Amino acid sequence: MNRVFIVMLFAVTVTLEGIIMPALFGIRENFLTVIFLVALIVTYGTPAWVLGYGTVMAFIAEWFQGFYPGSLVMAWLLAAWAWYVMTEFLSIQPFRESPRTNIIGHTIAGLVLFSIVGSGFIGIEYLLYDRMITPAVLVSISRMPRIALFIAAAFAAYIMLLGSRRRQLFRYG
Amino acid sequence: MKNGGTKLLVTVTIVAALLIFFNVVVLKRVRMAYAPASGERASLFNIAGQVHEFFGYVAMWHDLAQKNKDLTSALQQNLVDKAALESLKTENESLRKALGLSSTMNREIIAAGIFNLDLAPDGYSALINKGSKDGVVAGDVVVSPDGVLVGRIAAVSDGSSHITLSADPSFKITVSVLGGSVSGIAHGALSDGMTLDLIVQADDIKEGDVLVSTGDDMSPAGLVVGTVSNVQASDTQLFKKVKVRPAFDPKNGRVLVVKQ
Repeated sequence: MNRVFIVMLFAVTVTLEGIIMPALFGIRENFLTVIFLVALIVTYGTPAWVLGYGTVMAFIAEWFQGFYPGSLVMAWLLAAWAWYVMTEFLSIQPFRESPRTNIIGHTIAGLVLFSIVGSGFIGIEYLLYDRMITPAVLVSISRMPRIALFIAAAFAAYIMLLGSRRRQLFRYG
Repeated sequence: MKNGGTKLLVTVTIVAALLIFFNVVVLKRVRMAYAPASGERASLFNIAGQVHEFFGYVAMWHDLAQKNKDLTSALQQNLVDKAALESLKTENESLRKALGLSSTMNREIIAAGIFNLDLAPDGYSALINKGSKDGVVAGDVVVSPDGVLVGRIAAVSDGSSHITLSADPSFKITVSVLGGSVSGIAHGALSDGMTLDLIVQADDIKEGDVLVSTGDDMSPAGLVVGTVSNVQASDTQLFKKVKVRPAFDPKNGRVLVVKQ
């Protein structure tokens, strides 16, 4: 049931990013799908089911949005690796497993992973597929306070949404 | 990482890397641009766009309504400002004339406004908005800013004064024909304006002659009193009957009080 909720949330995210936000608000680049996928890691960590769901969802998202194959999947896997390293060497736990919920700390961790996904995606598209998308794009995005605030707020919202199902997920996880 | 997550992560990463390698090297960078359900997406996008446009119009109408309200308010304010400006302009003009009149007559002048006009059958009078506080005293002569005789102060209170207009039967003034040698005493005759007394049959006076004050009484000299409107001569009578049309128009609300 709760994984159905995650799938539904993913579908809503893709619809929001692809149709609702550009059409209603004129916002075409909102990174909602990437934020959702990263929030999945920050909230649940990287157990097998998260890796499975995340990989499939990343594949669907890049297929839906017309990216080159593997660019988003590999970038997301890079974030999963980064999370793995962070949990190994830093005192950080997934949001649902933290004894004390710290939304600000997990949002910051999410922003770090987001930058890794962004860098990985741009690197793959630029280096392997010769697409004219450069690291300057990521730098210019990070310099826009409104976009950075939006991304941080979206992270917090996704983590809260996904984390609110913690008890039921323990049962399945 | 639990439940074999590490192995899966390694495996998935390797598989993804191989797929990318395969796509780059073998398939020569095939792009995943399948655009699933593009027709439905386009329709949804179109509907959402129309909704956005509708709300844009609603916002625009709201803005227009607000702008209309602001402009109406600004227009009202402009009308108030314009009225104040007109008033100031009239007052300024009146004061300029008063200043000129004051220097001509060599007397002190007080600018005032008529706020009540009483043209009753038993007498013509008016009230002005200046009284004893402003220095007005009974007997002062009231003229228009152009130097036309209006009347004389009959009674004074603190903030207002009562004027006997020149057409009132109790009003009298010595006048002479402008440019002539005929002189007499003009007094009020209500709706007939004024009449000129003591004009003998031999005196040369005709309709259209302008009468001005002589200054032989308490009034200043040189005030325009009126124009001769009718002359009746008769050999059987000693004096001519002369009617005078007063020059002052009571509709002109601004007057000057000439201090004695």
